[in-house]
Amino acid sequence: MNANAAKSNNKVPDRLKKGVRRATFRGVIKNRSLYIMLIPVVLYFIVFHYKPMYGAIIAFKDFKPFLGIGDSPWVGFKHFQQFFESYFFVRILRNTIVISLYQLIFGFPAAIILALLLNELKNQIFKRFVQSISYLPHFISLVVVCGMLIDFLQPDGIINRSLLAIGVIGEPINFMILPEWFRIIFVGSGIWQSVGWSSIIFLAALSGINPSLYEAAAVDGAGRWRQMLSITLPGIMPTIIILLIINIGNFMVVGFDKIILLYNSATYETADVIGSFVFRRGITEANYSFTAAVGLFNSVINFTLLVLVNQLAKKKAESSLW
Amino acid sequence: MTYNKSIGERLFDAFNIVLLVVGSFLFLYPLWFVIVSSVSDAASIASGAVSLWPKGFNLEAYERVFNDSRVWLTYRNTIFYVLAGTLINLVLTTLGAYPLSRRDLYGRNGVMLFIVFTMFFSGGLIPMYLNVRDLGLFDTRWALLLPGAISAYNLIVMRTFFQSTIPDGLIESAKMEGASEYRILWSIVLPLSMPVVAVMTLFYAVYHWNSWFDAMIYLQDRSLHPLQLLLREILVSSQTNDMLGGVGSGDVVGVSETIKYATTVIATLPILVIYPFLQKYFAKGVMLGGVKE
Amino acid sequence: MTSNKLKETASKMALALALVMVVTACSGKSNSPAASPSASPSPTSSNEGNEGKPEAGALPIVADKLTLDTWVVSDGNFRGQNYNEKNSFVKMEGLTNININWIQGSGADGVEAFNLLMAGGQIPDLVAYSNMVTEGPKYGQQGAFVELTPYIEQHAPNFKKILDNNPELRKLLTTADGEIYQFPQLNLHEYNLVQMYPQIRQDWLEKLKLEEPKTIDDWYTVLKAIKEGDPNGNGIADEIPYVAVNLQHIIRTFGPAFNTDWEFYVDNGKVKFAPYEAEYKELLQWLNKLYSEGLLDQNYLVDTDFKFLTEKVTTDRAGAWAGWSGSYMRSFTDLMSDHPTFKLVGTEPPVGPKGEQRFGFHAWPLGTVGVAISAKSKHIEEAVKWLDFQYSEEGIMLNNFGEEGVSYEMVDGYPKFTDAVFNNPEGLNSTESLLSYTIGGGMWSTVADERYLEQYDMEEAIEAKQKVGKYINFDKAFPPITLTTQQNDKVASLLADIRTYRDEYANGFVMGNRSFDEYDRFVQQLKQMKIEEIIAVYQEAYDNYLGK
Repeated sequence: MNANAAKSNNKVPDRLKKGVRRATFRGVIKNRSLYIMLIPVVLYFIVFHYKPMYGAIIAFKDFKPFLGIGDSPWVGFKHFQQFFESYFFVRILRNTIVISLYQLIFGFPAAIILALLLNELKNQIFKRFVQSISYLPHFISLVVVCGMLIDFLQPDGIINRSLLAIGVIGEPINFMILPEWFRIIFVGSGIWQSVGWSSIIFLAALSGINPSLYEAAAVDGAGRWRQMLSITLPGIMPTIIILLIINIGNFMVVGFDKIILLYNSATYETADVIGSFVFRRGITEANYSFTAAVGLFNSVINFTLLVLVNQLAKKKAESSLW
Repeated sequence: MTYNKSIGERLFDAFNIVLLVVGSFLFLYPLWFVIVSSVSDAASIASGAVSLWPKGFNLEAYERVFNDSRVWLTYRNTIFYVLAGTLINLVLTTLGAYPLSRRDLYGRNGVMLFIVFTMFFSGGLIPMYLNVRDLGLFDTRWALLLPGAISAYNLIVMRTFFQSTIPDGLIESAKMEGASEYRILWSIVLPLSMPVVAVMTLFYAVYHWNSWFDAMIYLQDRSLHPLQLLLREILVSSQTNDMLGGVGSGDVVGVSETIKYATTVIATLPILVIYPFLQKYFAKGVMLGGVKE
Repeated sequence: MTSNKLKETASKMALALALVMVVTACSGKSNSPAASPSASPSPTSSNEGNEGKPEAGALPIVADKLTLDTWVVSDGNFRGQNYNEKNSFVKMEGLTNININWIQGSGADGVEAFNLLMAGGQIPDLVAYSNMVTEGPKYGQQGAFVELTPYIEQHAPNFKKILDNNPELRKLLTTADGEIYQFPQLNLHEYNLVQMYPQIRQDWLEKLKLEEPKTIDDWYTVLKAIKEGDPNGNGIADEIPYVAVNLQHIIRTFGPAFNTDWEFYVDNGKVKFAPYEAEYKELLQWLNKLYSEGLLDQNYLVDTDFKFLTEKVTTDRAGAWAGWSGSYMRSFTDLMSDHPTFKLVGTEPPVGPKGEQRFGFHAWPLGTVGVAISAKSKHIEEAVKWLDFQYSEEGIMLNNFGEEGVSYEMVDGYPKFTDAVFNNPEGLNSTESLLSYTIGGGMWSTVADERYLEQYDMEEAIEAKQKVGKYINFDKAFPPITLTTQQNDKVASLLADIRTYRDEYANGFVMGNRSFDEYDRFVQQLKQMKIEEIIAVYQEAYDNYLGK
């Protein structure tokens, strides 16, 4: 290993300009064991992610399995064109953005707030109890969750009966076939199912904050509100920003599996998103090229968003993904 | 740690407790409903009579599920996948997260971008399937362990944790004393990072416990199948009809609702048991953090 | 470098794996990349031809035991661990000397599993699938499945005989380019063509002193009476007169009475798309009347699962629906055996305002299930012979009734199931025991024998099927023919959008979310979405089919 390093030591300065480069190079040598650690990781990503990535070219082909990816005929932007020209393109784009926005505005802060509320609890047993309870919904399979939702929300379901009983409504509401209710049901149940689970990360970040900071602040006479603002929040800010970046990077992804379990043609108007559209189009008809084209379109938008937000975070918050 | 609580703070505490109690009920009820339904009779569930307590208590659904020898086989498989898979995940994720958390690592932004990129661009289902097949992993246990060996998301979370909680000075001084990077990682960074290790364990273990899709596409050999795939089969195939003029299996319909709930319980409980166990480490991590600083 | 090395290691691993599998005689994986298949032998120059080769149709098919890998989805009529647990297949192996290594795809309805199998581009010798009628030609044209026409001539005397005797069948099976790609399940008897027919609570009709509904108006009267007459006698108007799980079932039941249909149908040789025709509006208006008066299940768009329908029936609320004989009529009657009066009757298809009466919910003689042979199989000839055996007299009996003397006895020329099936000593119910002995003629590449279902069906179902079967009109229904690849590329994406649009609007009209004032705009929009071009393509395909 030393011989190797020495050999390349001679080469590199010839090719590169001197000065700064030499310093970086010394850094590389100094941290060589860190690079060695990274080898299996990088290898993994090459073998299981980058190697199959060439398959994305089927977006520009008419993929025929028995010809293979390489020999399937090129069709250029046909699938993209089909997607953009679809009668429903504008609508599914709008629905995707609106649902994502709801999730970002209501869902993302919910987990942080739950973590903060739990953190303020002084009774450790109660805290642990609530915390353990809050992640339960995450473990119930989506099919069962949606089944229960439909059950509860039926005209003669438990929710309508309760609302009727307390007199909020006079007539039962058939929630599942009314377009105006779909997004609320979808996003609301999503928060319910994931808020506890998502708060785990924030709780872990909270537990990483040094308790002596709080003690010092208490000595200085800062109240709990003050402590939360000046110690707790800054303490978990890096985690919040990183997760926010990732979330925004997934902006155009709305899970189609839950959509298709909950929607029906009466609610398409507000419920049909890119994912469910592609599911109907691509997967049930095994039209992989079309699916790949829409996937690529989504990825490009998401990745662009990610790069922009990351840039912004780097400047403003000095915390970023890279 | 004694505070002089103002009225506002007391009010906040009371409000907080009430809110979380109501929340707990909302979180708890559906699972309770599933448990109660799994031991009720099908007719009561269908008519909506089941809400708080079991109606027509019976364990027929559990009997049916546990009498299936495949349940035991796939249960064993799943435990193997969870243990082996999580171990591989943790080792590889740590090996990635630690170097990338070091600000003095030249090129780390490039590597990060290289990893983050995979969260957005993928070859899609078919190329991944072909890849696994060409690597010779098809129909082997490795097919469930290797393709998802690292989650880029988890790697980022872990890296962020290292970066924000391990003081640079600590590593510097350890290096002064001549500790190797492996030593630093093993005896300084990891002990200080038990909270995130616990979270990662939980995330990965749950992922392995719940996953069925990879098994469906990569494993044909039934003796390798995980529990979730079998459960899915039990759930879905009990709803078949005689579309094609065959006789179908209409007789399963009556009990299928309770079976669905029973299988949900069986598939959920074990992973629920892990969590409180891991939760201890969260607290421990905090303590250690206090002592070392 | 490293990546190359990895590749090398990987292919070594694959080779080793393949070797192990060959050694352990688990030839199920002989299609792994290591075992590169040679070019498929042409039918005339068989590479394993030996002098003493038996004639076509002779048994056993091979002298030395041969194993064929066969991919199949374990759905509907699957029971136990493996198809080789079925007595019929065990017996078949003895007769043909061909062993089938069943490779079981898993997955909900098999669609995912099948798509994945095909997407991988490598398939075993035989592939069985529930929708081979469309997928066979589709992948056949891509070169996945072998073109069977010459093989059928030479090696499939039984199957050939059936096609020769049923020219219509041959027309349906042959694609536009004149090829046959699969061995299909066949329904040669009217009894097996009836699928979902209207079923109604006979005991409720009696209670309300009503006759079985005949016309559309009768249906309205009966459903109204169920709604208002409290036939379940619990004092609450909780009856759901007509239950459905989707609009398609409703329209396929009532549409023909209005001289319309679900999608494509044929009117005097002209292909039509139902929602684009005037009659469709009348149908929707009638359905809207039912829906708004609460006679049609208010939740048919949400409760789309069969279990909801079961629930409504078993809680004594459902009045009528369209259903199968087995999983609906029989299973509901079983589930309601404690009910004092529960009794169902199947009705004739309703007569429309202009006297039109047609049964639209039927199968075709060419079933959807089928088995196709991989173009790369090394044993195409043997596979053809084995599949042909399924259509021999012996094969048909085995597939429908199992082994003589075990699961059935010949009584006066009628294959009667024994007590092993209908009174199983081990306590299996009739469905379970039936499936231990045979796969069932409706689920496999063979000819469905009507005497199979006749013995399984309830008396009411037999009666109903005979009543309904008379009203099948093949000239009005669009046949299960496949489009050519070019035709399909042209219409698939257009039609997908139209279907979404149609679903939204048709349901909207029925449920009253949309006013019929919008109807003209709906039709106009269909035109803008190029429905006329699509109809032209279907017309072309239909004419081609007729001209064969």
